[in-house]
Amino acid sequence: MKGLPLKCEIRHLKGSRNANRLRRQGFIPAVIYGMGEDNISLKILKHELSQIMHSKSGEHALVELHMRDESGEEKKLLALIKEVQHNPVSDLIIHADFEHVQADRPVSFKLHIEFIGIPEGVKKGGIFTPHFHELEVLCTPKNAPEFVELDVSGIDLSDSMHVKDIKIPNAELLMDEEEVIASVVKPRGVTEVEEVEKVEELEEAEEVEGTEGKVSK
Amino acid sequence: MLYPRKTKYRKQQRGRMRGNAMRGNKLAYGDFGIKALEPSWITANQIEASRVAINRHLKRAGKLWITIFPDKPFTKHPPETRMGKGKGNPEYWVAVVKPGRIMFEISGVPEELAFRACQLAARKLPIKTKFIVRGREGGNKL
Repeated sequence: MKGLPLKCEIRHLKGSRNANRLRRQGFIPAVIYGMGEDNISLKILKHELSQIMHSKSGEHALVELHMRDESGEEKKLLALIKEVQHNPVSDLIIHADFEHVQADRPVSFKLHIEFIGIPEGVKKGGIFTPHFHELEVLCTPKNAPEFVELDVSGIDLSDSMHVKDIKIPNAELLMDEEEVIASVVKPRGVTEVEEVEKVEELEEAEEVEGTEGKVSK
Repeated sequence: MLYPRKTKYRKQQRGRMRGNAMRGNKLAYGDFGIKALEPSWITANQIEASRVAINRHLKRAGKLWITIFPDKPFTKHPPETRMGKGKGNPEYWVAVVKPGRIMFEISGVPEELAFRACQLAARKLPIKTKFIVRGREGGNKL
């Protein structure tokens, strides 16, 4: 996977008051850490980070940070989006954490899952339910895929897809093999209706049998 | 109606609802949801009314998750009773909801259908809410 380019500036003014001031100006306060180096506080343009977050890599994309100092010097760093904090009410981004990584050193990734195809069970009236939207894997950033495409067309009614059914080249899955990724469940209401209909049919059949018996007597 | 099967104590103090919901503020199961924008107590009756409204509109399609639970007893004095003589009897159950809390989640249906269902459900609730979609910032007011 190639790091998506993201421009940022090093910030020296810290604290919530300065962070709020930055947010009002259209920036997002951020921090980069990792590889045994000191933390660096950054500021990023809000729309640039939003664009990356809405890309296919999702919330945990690999980015190439173009860090600019006050003197105008630019430094490039490969980093993973570790965490993005949102305002609980407005859902707007309020802070981002980046983890400095090396292209050839394995790190744990969270890969966005893209479900493709219409499951067999959905055609029969079932409901497709994804249990995970991300997969946790261990791999090197240069070998990591941008996202994982999962073909769910083979899932039948009351059937599910497990972690053990997924294979990602050059990556080790860090999840329990028996964990369910997606399933197709029967709609509860439909089963209830079917059961009621069945019971009614049985009752009718019993009544008919009973009357037949009386007639024969 | 939702209420706890067993509780350690029959009555609770009222408490305060300060700040925002720091947990349960992201979609955990579904693709669409109803998010609270105000703090309030949501009664078991209101949750049930919203559930029925959503299920009727979806016509049993899709899947619904209710992510709040009324585990707080609400006590009341009987009518025409003088004040005092201790705390009243538990009347009904409420869920404490703070701004940002996701109350209902839906999946397996198109967005327009989910939006209308959430709109109908939101009418049964005593607070302002918004409709949220997975992977989309902001949301629409209901």
